[in-house]
Amino acid sequence: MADALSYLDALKYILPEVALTIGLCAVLIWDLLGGGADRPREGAWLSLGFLGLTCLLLIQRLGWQEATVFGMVRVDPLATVFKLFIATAVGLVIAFDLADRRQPAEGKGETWFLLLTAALGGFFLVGTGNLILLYLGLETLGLSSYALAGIHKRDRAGAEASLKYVVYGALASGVLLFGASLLYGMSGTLEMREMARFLVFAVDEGRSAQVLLPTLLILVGFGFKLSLFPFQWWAPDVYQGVSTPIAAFLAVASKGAALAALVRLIAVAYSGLLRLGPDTFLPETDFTRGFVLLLALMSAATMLFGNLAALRQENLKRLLAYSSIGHAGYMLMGVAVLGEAGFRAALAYSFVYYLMTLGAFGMVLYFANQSGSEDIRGLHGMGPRHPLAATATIVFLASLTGLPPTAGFFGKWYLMVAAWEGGLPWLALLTALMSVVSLFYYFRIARALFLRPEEEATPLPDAPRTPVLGGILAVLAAGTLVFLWFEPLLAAASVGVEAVLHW
Amino acid sequence: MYFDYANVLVFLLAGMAFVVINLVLGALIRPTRRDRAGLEPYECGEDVIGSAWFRFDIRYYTVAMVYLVFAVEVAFLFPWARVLKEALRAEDIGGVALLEGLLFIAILLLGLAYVWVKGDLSWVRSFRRGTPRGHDKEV
Amino acid sequence: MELSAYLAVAALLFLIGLVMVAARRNLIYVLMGLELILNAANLNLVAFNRFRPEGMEGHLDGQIGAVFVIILAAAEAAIALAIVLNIHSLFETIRPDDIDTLKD
Repeated sequence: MADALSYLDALKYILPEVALTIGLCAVLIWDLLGGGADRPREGAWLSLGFLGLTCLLLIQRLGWQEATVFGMVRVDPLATVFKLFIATAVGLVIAFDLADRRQPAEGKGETWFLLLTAALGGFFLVGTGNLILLYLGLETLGLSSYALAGIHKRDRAGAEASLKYVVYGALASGVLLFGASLLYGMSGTLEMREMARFLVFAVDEGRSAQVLLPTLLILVGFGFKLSLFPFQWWAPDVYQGVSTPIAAFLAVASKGAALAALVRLIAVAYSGLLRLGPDTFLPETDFTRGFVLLLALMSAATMLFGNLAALRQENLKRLLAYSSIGHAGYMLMGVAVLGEAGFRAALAYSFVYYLMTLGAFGMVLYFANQSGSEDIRGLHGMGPRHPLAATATIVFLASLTGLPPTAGFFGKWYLMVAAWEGGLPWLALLTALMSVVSLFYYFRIARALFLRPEEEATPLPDAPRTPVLGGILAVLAAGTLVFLWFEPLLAAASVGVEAVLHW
Repeated sequence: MYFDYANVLVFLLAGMAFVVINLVLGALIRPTRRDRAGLEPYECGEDVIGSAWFRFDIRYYTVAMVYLVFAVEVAFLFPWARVLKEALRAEDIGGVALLEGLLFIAILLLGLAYVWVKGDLSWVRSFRRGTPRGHDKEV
Repeated sequence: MELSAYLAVAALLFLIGLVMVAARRNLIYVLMGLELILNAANLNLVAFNRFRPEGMEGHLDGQIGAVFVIILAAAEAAIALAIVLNIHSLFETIRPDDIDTLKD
């Protein structure tokens, strides 16, 4: 980037980010001109337009040669696929937010501005090999999310949720930064790729403890974002307290971005210590064995906690929060294998998770619009009256459980195979067991929809029709059913993982 | 060789002149009031004499928050300003660096405009819009 | 001065910050603890940058990183303070233990 021409060339690589930045400035200006209060729909179209443009630019970049631009922004298939993941998820969240009839009309401009800012943070989080830029992306995503959680000033539940989120979140990211600073001190570099060499040396020389401490601290930060076991306490309270679209955003976009960043960090910075990595010239070290065991135990605890706590929930969003903790445990299982197959399975599962979790939160929104309640009781008798949404819900529930014709089954299958072959058969068996447990609480939702008498439900007299939301649910459900058609997407994830491993 | 420190002397003199000129100008321009509020040493809206252990008006926090963010953002501008002159002379990325700095300031100004329009800068807030208080975020 | 002196101070700051957050007496204390943690990390970044091994001097990546962290810490403080102000006006308290209506 010595001269202006190469600067412009480099700029081409981050054009999606530039488009998104222009978009969020445009939304802010539109809000300042009074649009936020008077014409909320226009702002949504503005945001969606810029997100669409960003997605087009990203799709155009899918086939590009990998590159590192401006010294720290990494543009490769993994980054591009996950930027698409984030951008489309944020687009759907904006659509959800428009369809949410139970929120005050105020603050729409801010909501969209913050969602786009969060997406930008996610873009940098998934697309960098530099620890400082990773932290910057994580914080941009996090800070916007804290503000999003507390966007409705007079809402007590939202205020409490935003408080819990900001305290735990800031603590976790601070601990992560401290860990990153220790890694920097050990290796003398902030670049994950150069760090790898030093980490191998350190472990080789018997200084495993020196590597372990920063690794643990960094895991705290990611554990918070992904709601992994000892760091998951915030998730149920926050998901319940914030509005449903924002909960969907936290569960899907924020988690997906964090997963991609975690996989990149482990696959690159720890590449010399992977068990099934590309250049495992060293014999397996105690450090590697311990790391695998740690991640596997975290994964097991996360699964157990999420699925068991979900059993006795009455609030749908709280139930989905616990279920999303459980799914984070499944995804971590793939990472715990510390090998290519595991990473690929974890990323593939995150696509599955995207479809069914957005669908499930959309379902909560749809029926809460109708009944005014976010409890399971609010669903009673809704099935026959809203056949399309109810059928879509059944598909999502089946997929979340992991029943055969749906995406959830294939995603879980890949994960279990990866864990089995990666030497963690007990974890694969635990996953199967937890799927059976999850059947109980997912089935309660289906039963409430179809098998419960109607008189208990209290449909709002003038419940609004939300055809767009119904349409989105139908599309997501269809996507969940024909997931195998998305082979190209899975292939892209594989290519992404390979590119990262051989970087 | 003492001449090498001439710029320090100029800096000192300019600094003193700045203070004196401002004091004199202020004395000439400001209205003089002899009432109780006008005789306070600092016109900051709080009692300046007495215990410090009282609750500050909550509006200070809002102003402090806004100030905090903008003041700290300037930390980015110092290194930029430091190397800009040489970069411009070297003609390689100077133009781009200048543009990027201006862009950064423009985005900051957008944040300022946001706080202003939403009424967080006025001491007596107007609740005309009824919008929630926004916290500006420029990253 | 030795590198280890800086690291010791940073580790101490980090621990004090953790304790302040964990003690949960007052939300303002918690926010101050969070700032201490960030500053501990910053001290590490700058000290490691200054004392980096032979042949790798000249890079300023750690110090540049520290500047970014300072700005993020300010933004984080602003947002957290805004949330605490809102909590204060809705709950009339800033004791974390009293703000717990969302639970199983």
